[in-house]
Amino acid sequence: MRRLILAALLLLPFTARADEVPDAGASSGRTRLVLWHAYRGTEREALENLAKRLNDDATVPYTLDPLAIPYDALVDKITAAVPRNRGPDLFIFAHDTIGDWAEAGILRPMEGEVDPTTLRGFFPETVTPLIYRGKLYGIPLAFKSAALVYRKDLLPTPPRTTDEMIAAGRKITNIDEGKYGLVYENGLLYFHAPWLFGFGGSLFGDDGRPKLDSKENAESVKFAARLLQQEKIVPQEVNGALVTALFSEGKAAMAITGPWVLGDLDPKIPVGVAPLPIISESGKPARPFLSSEAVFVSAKGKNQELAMMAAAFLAGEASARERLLVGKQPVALKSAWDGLSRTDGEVLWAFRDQLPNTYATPNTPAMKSLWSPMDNVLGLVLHGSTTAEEALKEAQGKVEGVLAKVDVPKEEGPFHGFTLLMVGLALASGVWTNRKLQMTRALSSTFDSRITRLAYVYMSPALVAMAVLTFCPFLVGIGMGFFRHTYGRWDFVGLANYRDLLSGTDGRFLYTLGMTVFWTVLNVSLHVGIGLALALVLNIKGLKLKGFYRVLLIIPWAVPSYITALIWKGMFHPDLGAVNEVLAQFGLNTRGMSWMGEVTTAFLANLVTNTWLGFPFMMVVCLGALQSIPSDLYEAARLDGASRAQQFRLITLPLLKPALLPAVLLGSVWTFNQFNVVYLVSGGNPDGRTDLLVTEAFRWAFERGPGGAFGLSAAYSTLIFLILLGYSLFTNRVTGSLEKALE
Amino acid sequence: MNVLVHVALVLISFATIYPVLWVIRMALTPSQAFAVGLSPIPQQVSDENFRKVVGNSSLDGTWVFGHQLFNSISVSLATAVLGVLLATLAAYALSRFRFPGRRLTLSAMLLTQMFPGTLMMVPLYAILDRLNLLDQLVGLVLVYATTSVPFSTWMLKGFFDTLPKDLEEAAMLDGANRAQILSKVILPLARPGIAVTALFSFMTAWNEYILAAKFMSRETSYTLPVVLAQYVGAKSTAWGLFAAGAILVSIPVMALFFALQKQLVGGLTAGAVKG
Repeated sequence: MRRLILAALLLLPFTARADEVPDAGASSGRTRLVLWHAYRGTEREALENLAKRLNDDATVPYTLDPLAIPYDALVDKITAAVPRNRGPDLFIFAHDTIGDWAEAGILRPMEGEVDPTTLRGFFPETVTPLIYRGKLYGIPLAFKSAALVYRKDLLPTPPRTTDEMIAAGRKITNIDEGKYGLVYENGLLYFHAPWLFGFGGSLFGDDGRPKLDSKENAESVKFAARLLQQEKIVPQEVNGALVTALFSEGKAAMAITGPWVLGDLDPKIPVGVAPLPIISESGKPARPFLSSEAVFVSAKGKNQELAMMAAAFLAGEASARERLLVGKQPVALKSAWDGLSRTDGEVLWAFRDQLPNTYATPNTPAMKSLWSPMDNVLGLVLHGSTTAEEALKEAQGKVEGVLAKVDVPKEEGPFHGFTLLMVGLALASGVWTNRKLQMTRALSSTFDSRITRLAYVYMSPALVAMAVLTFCPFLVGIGMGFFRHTYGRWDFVGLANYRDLLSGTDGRFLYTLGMTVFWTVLNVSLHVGIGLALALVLNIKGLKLKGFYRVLLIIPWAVPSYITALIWKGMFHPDLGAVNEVLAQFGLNTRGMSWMGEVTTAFLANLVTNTWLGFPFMMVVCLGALQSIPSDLYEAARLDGASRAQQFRLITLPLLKPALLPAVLLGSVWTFNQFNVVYLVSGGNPDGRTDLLVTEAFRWAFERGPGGAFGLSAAYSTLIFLILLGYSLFTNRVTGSLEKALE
Repeated sequence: MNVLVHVALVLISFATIYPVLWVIRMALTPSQAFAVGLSPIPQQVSDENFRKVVGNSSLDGTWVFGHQLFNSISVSLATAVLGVLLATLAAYALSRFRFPGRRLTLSAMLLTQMFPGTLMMVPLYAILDRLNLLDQLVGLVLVYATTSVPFSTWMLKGFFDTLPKDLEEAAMLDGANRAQILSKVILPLARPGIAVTALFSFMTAWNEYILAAKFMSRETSYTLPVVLAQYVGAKSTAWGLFAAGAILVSIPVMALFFALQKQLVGGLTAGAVKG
């Protein structure tokens, strides 16, 4: 009975259906509008306060239902949901994706629907980024840009020029104590932008095409290298986590970062914010990227008129004040700032002072293809692997290559090749099926038809579920590889995706493949080796505290890997990481040694992290598998005088195989497609040389093409699949391992 | 000997939990900054982050965290039960019966694991939309269970293969039917294998957030990993809250593992095989 009650309780959440959502305004006949956003902390609080006030006011014809969505899921979710009428009525996001969304028909154009006098109430810098191809698509809420955030206890007055910044930084920096004058993510284009634009550089040429290899861009990169290598006021290999860590521990006096960190810092830290300094070399102010956060109305919403009203309310005076004062958000509406004096809102005002010297992130879809090549340039030059000019020239070539590939090909692609391939495949599968059928017919006498029917009855639930939810998406995925995707439109291109991926990649594909194979072999060996060794030890009869060790050792599997992978990344930091410190204790000269700068060490860092993450699973599998070995076999062996080693070789290993083999086989496939660790720890550094095939596929889908180069990514994934298929058939032939497992 | 084993185990355990100590440190420190350095001992201790994560409530005062914890537990347990059930049936047929299409089924299950998941998402969304399973916990359970079925089937087939057939034959002679043999003879013997696959299926659902974030569109239908992902912003992350959440999320897993241990290492087969 108790079990029944428990089961009933656990089934309870499944009974709630989407259409039964309690509707705040249902009784009063008000329309419910859904608003998607990715705000957290004080910004979310302010937004929810506003919604609550709105919903309590019965004179408003609608109610507002805000839903917070994880930031990295929001773009994808909107892109998928809105065209299927599953989307929200309104959503809040930064302006940089509006190019994609406008082209895909997701955004309702607002041209002529917003009163020009209302628009003039916003800072013009926040309105222009919301215009795409001459049309307005959103109403601005807030603006976000980096500025100079500093600790008043370490630096009484902020520097006005870069020379002053360097001088102040040199005074504070003390590498032995792990103290730095300045900390910022110098390997990312986003945070390098202030220097780039301050030196008069740019990302696009006069013709609107990407132009990276200019003299000014090179100068800005050299300046960043100088801060790191000659002036030594910036730590190496900084990521966002390290910026907040150093700054809040008082180990960095200045940081180039934005209003988004303020909520995460301890309120006791004396934080000051000032506009970024003037570049002494050019005499121009440093100009960071600007994001204009706006409210957009879905083009597919049922109540777009009401949604426009809600959007106007969210951007309006009362809302702006709440967002400024409670949300601590630099709001786009000028008049709202009257409610905040410079002394009370010193920090926010500093971001407002930065606003005139910002550069709006271009909303052209081509911008997407520039981030990671520019990040690579910075990584290589800062590590001293190459010169700024060389790196920029190479990046220019890469960007042109990528853009040529993501464009829909002018000619229809090798149609003939495609037709031939299809005919060939059809023929081959026909021949194969025919042979199979003949074999089956020949064998059918050996199969009992009653048993066959029974077998399919047993397998049907699993097979039906998998047919719908695994094989269907899988086939669609392969099919996508023959199309080119631009803004929700799919063009059939035959084999063009494959041609483009495999041609002109200067052997990069083969290199990545080799890297992936090497990675898989090493990882799986380590997982199984360590897992099996621990399982054997934890299986020793009479060992005390076994249960305790077992639970401790599965912790890496239990804790979400997003945070632990980043902790490992921190541990591999050249100056501040624990790994170098521990190695130094053993007399090795590792202090300050960079792990992510060289292919071998970056690979090693990935390997260590993934081994740590992966061995507990294999340990659990081995623990289970060891139980399938009858203990009387050992007794018999002991009686026959077999040594421990002999017992292991002759009993444990052969009998472990049937239960362990599936885990090894599937473990190899998963490791081959392991995404998180490489993406989070080395990030493919240096220069994408530690990337695996699957991270490449991801980059094609999300970091390169305008509108997401899904077709190319699908083709890439199909290639990965074919390679794995070939590999498993090959090992099947050579070792017969699959054969045995299949028996 | 025993002392040496313990020393080795203590060292390995320390290396294993050292990175996790940092998670604990971040969770206990009131600021939201990431932590670096050598010593993971927190300088100030407070339960503020835990209270914030657990106390998360929605606009109308619903205790959202409670809903989400409940969703996570239900979805993961349902995935484990459904996944193991489907896999047990399929694995038994694949292990004990000889029939045409057997190898094809086994290979097909392996093949599905070879296609990178990022791309299956786009078609999967469309399929769930058609089936009217978007924003439904049932939809999540079905997706997770089918994801875990191939591994579980292979794994259980391997376990079933090691079990001697004489027991079944004996039961058959006693007049037991297939269903009785499976439930009364095979399952008790394959307990370690079931424990491994159940834990695996549970974990497939428990830590997944990419699909959950995409398919679920109400705060009360989110699972805990989605809530964790919310603490990661565009350019900054609330590390204290994330770490506190990560610890809360890993406790049930460890509790489950602790409970399953008995099945996993019970040495159940020893007596049965002698017959």
